[in-house]
Amino acid sequence: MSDLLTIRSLSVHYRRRDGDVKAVRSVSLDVRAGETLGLAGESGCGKSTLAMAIPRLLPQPPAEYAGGKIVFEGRDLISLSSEELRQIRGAGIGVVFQDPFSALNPVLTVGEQIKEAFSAHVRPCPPGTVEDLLSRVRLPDAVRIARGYPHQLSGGQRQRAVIALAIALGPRLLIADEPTTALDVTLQGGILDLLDGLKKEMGLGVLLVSHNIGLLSERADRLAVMYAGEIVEVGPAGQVLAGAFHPYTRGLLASLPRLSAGRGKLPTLAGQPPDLRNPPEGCAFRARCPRAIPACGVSPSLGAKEGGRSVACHNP
Amino acid sequence: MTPGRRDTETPGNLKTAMLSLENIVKIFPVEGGILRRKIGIVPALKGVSLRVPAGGSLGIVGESGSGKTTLGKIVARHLAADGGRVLWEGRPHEEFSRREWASRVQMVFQDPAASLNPKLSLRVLLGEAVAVRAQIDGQKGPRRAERDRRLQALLDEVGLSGAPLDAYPHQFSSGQRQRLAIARALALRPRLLVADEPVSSLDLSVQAQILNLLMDLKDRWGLTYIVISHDLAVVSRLADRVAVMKNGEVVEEGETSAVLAAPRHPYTQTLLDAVPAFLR
Amino acid sequence: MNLFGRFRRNRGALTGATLILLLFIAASAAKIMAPHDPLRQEVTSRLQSPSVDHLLGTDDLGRDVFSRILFGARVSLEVGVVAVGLMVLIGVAVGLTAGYLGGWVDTAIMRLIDALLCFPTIFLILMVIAFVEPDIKNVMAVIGLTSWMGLARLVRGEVLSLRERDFVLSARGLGLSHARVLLVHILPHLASPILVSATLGVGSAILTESALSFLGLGVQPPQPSWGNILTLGKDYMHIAWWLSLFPGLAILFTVMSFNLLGEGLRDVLDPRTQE
Repeated sequence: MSDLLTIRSLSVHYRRRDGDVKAVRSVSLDVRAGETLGLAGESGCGKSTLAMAIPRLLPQPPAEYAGGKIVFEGRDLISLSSEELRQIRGAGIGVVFQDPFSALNPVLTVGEQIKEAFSAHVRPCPPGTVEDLLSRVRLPDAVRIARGYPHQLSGGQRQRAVIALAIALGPRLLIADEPTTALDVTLQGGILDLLDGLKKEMGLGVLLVSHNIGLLSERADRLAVMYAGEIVEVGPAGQVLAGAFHPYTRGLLASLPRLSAGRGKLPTLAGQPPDLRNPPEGCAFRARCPRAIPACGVSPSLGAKEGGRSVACHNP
Repeated sequence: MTPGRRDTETPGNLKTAMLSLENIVKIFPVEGGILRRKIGIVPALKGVSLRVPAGGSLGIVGESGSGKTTLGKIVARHLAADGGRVLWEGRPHEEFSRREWASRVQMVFQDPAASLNPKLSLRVLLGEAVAVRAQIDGQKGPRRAERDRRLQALLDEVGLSGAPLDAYPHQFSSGQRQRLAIARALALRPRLLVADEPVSSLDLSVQAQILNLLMDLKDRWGLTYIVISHDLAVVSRLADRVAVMKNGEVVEEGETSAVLAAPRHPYTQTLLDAVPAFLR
Repeated sequence: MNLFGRFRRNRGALTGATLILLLFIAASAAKIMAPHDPLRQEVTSRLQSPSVDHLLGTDDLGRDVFSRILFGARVSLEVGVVAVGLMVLIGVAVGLTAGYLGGWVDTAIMRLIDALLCFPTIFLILMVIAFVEPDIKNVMAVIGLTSWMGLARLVRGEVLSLRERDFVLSARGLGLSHARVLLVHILPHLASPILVSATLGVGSAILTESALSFLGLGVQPPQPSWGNILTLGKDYMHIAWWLSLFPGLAILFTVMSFNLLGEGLRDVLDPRTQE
């Protein structure tokens, strides 16, 4: 498996009157072809900013690239012109958003929106393409759905239509930002199965962003954990969940209620994440960390461990 | 505030549940057309019967659309049932005034950002609840100094000691807001707390804190719980009995440990399978 | 989030507010600012065109038009504010009741409003005026009593959706009185739509008052009002243009100012237009 996407020392800030919010702080991360990389983190940790920063979909201003590079198939996306970037969006990188209700244009039929994607990239869209795409995302009765407007579809169908749009031009990377959070619990499995299937059929690299570690545990090949704008731990999902290195990951996993554990208090993480307008010197987790040592006053870098794992911690 | 109060007024007959629901039916009309005529009905609850003993804790699990939230709202009297009876210690709920019911049953909602009025300060949000309780007890509303002292005592109860009473909900994190919502419900000194998805809008690391708080309060205040959630793991923490709902019906009910160990209904098994392997 | 900053950046709202402020100052200082007594007739200087002594000329009885317009501003603003106060009072009360109680009360109130809206307001007003003395108090009352329906509808719609919000459910679940739920938990959320329609309402009330006075059914001469100055102007249109032009402009600018402020407030207060 080769690296499809390579992010090196990426920093993204939001310009605000009361100080810049340093939402993504020197993040390095790889997504390989044919794998699902799960990006986990709590609200405000910067995971959505990171996901949307890759195809440069963040509105600038207030967002601002403060350093680093995003290399997709050998080209640094940050240095591309807007025309070159437009070619890559859709054709190289597909995006699935959290809210399928606002991701589709309400006044165009599903079929028209898919055809529009082809014409925007000056590609022919032979008859039958639309129906073929809709059946690939396992929408039954593709002909009827192609003629329908978004409001005529259920939430789950709509998200499938969004996915059809995202894969229409045959991208190699799919970024899915909380793709099931807005959907009913019962529909989530189906959407995630679909993403899994497409990954295998098309050899896609998938960046799956979620606050729900349980969901990622079942869907991600590798897991990256984000805290306060930084990646604190990366590794094969099963290994990270079974024995996390970083005290934050460990604390978070320990606090999750388990079925078999019975009654009794849950261990909790004390304190709050730091304010990203003023991130602390050194390790961002230091103030909450039970294992903090004087060395933590210096920012730890993401160091490699055995088995393709890495952790940013001085005292794991 | 008198934590540690026990249920001394429960009738001698232990079989009388504190709250019983008998054959509860709820139907929602479907309106359509320009005249908003009723063009159909959706049965949300098709005859649900459940009992909650004093000091007990009943979990209700099911997916959205199963009717579990509707049931919770009927217990808290935010909705009226279309059929069946809601009984408090054997007496139909209609015999209780709104205030009397409020001093027995309180509800904690899923999203504290929505359940706390954003335009009101803590002093007002908590103070009005304390004032209602004082009126129920036939007392005058406490004076400012005394009231502020009581509000601080309430905040202590939920682990928000020293929070400024002039602050507004948006100045707190979502976990702290849920603590405020719980404090507000506690101000009424209820016997039964209905918690509808109390942690599902919260971040993972905060969920454990709120679950711990709910466990603590149950012991200290001698509370009875109805905990509604789609997450079996959450329910298994808080509930000694669990009812599994599907399409407006209870498909399985029993001791939590027994249901988890040996589910009898295939739907319960489906819900169990939905819990990620590493959390089982 | 900063409302004041957003207000300052909204040119329409700022212009409207400034003009209205100036108008209020002029109206309240009319006694000091007016160069002449608005009621004093001077037979020797009838129908004089604008000059240094009479800035906006004189009317057929030799009264100073500028002074009359200044005093007329008092009438207009008084009518606007009082009539709208009445409109807000009734509209909000009716809207809150209908929306909060729902059911047949709501249906009955909404049908009544539909029926009232079927009558053109001006006929409704003319009908009422036919039975009562045409003076400023009655004009204010009539305008207030015939203009609350739109606001009531707006308020009712907002209450219907607020009623289902968790914080209102939770307030009711605490056993708070209906009055407290309505006044403390619901009403503050209606502040912006009410403020916007009240501001727009002032403009239209001023317009209605002018129309009534123009028809001789409002403020009675010799008390000056922009409407009755215009009536006079109509008779002397080709020999004394200033008699029609200046009160007309006064009405135009005042109504425009209130509309600018109202539309501006709508943009400033609407969370959907926030960046």
